Amino acid sequence: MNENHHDNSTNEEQQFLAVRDLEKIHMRGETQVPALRGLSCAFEKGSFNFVLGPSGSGKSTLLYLLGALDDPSAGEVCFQGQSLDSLTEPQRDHYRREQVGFIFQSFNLLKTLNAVDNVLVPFLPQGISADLRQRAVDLLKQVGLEHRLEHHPHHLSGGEQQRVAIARALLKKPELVLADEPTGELDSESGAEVFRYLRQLHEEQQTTVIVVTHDERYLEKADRLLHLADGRLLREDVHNG
Amino acid sequence: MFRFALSNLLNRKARSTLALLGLTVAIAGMVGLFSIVEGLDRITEESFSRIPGILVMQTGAPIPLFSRLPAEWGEDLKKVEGVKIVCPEIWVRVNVLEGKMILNPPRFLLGVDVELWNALSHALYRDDLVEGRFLNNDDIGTRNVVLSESIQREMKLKLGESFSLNGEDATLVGVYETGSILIDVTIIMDIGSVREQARFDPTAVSAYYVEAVDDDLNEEVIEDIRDVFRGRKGDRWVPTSSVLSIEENPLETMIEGLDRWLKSASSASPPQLSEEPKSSSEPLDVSPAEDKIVTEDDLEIEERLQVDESIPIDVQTADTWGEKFGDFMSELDFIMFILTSIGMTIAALGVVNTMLMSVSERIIEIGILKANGWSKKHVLSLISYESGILGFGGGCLGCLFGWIATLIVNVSFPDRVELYASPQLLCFSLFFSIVLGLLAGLYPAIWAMRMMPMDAIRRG
Repeated sequence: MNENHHDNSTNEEQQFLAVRDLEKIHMRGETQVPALRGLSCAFEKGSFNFVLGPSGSGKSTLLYLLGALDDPSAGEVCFQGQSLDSLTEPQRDHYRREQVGFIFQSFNLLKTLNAVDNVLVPFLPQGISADLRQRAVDLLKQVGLEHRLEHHPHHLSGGEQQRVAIARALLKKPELVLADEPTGELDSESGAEVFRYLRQLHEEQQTTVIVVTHDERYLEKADRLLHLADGRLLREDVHNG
Repeated sequence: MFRFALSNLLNRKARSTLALLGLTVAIAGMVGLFSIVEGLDRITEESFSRIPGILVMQTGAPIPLFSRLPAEWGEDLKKVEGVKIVCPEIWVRVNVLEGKMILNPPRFLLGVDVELWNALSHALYRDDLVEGRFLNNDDIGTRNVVLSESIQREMKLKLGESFSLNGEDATLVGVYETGSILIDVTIIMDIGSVREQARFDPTAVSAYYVEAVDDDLNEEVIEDIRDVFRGRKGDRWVPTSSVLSIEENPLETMIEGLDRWLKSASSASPPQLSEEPKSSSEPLDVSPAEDKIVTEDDLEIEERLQVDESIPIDVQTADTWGEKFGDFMSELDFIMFILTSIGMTIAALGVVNTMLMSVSERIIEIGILKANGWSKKHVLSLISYESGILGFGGGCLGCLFGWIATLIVNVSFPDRVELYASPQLLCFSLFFSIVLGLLAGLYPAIWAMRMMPMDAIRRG
């Protein structure tokens, strides 16, 4: 049993992103609401993954724990062999700023900033160089928003806002992109467009993408699927197309 | 970061405006309150610096109006070494001008010895003439007057015109302007005419203005005058009895003084003037009943105080009078500080409230920022920038409005008040406002800083 455990650990260390016995309990007043119940899984570098399951299955909670936006109640998440728990506060900030790109269902753009500045948000505190600004503009052009650079979020459609969010996530050239229901507030056409850009950038930058969704219309052949239910991994497989 | 903070504030116009208004009102109030003190300071400095000579008044009298000194003391003052000119003054309050009761601003009638006044090297009023002429020997025994431009403006008088002064006719021959609301309240007339009109005691004057041979000798002349008058009998000014004091029976006054001296000599008090001074080598005669150890220095100080008490006159330069006035200012400063503190507390609570509301409205945004790698320090900086901008804006507006208000008040009431908001006061107010803004934003900033990104996003 000890040997098995050692083998598993070695495999996890070699994996790009590994989750082991992950538990998360939310507190609703004095009531404990378990969101994840000992979930273990792993993600290969450069893979395109979908986390599927009904509402309340723990999909979004898993995503936020992968991104170090929250602390697990038990278990751990290892990124390139290092447990996120062991990171110091500045290291976690660096992980979120440099290595992970987030795309949220409700876009989560800052309404006081225009499209370019929203893309540049992760780097605002450090100061924006001309090169970085140019890269932000290029990314927005790449997602078809060259005519919307100076527009504020309330002047953009839902699809356009989500494309700004994608550009923001990709500006840092992240190794990992975490998308939480990215098409949840979009019509079919905009949703398809968002996935087209995501897949295009995934191919170009070999970024690992993990998408939480319950909409299976955007699955493609060879996508890796993780099915969750009641905070546990039900099964994992590869989409056949 | 600054631009982001600014756009956050501009995006919440109503809330930012309210916080800005709160700070503006508080800072404007601060500028207004302290401009009263600074105005008084400036008036005092300007007024007293215009009087280069020495004022001799009755001990304890706050201003020459309440002072009474024997008229014959003028001769003794002239004999003091270093004294060039001694000008007797009679000060009377003007109660009625052109049939109108005068309450505020007050007006005073100053009786001067015209010949002596004109002999002064530097003479107030005479050197500040803007129209007509100053009193000369032809005006002795007449009711010709010189008054300030502000009084002339108020009474709409022209040179040569007569007007009613305390019920009797007077004629305007000259107009002066010093620019000080403390000085420009005086009407100057020949001393004999004032004495006659006011039925002023013929054996008394209000005060003496002494000009030394050289202004640099003022301190030495003051000491010499004190020496001359040390031990001389004279009453200390006490409120409400000032006028009567000079009319008291001298014998009665002498007996009362003797009685006071005997009583004080019999009590267990430090050595009196009548005692021979002890040499420093002799042991001090301290009552064993006294627990307090009396040192030689203590005795010397008390002795000096006792001696000063026996001088019936206050002899000081105008600067020293100005310093006394300054002591009163520091008391006023304290009152202003308390009033300003109340205003500042209210303003600070306003900024705290604004920033707390602003932060709680933006929980999701803060979560997004943290999700994008913003550290606690960055979030703290952003909120601090916002509250600092509010502080700076409120400070600028407060200083501007406060300063404009002082100008309006000065223009509206030129004869009554002079407010002055100095560049130092304005700079301090601005700095204070920024610090206040930053401190008030600190709690909301710390609150936002500690939030977990996921908590923030979920709460939103």
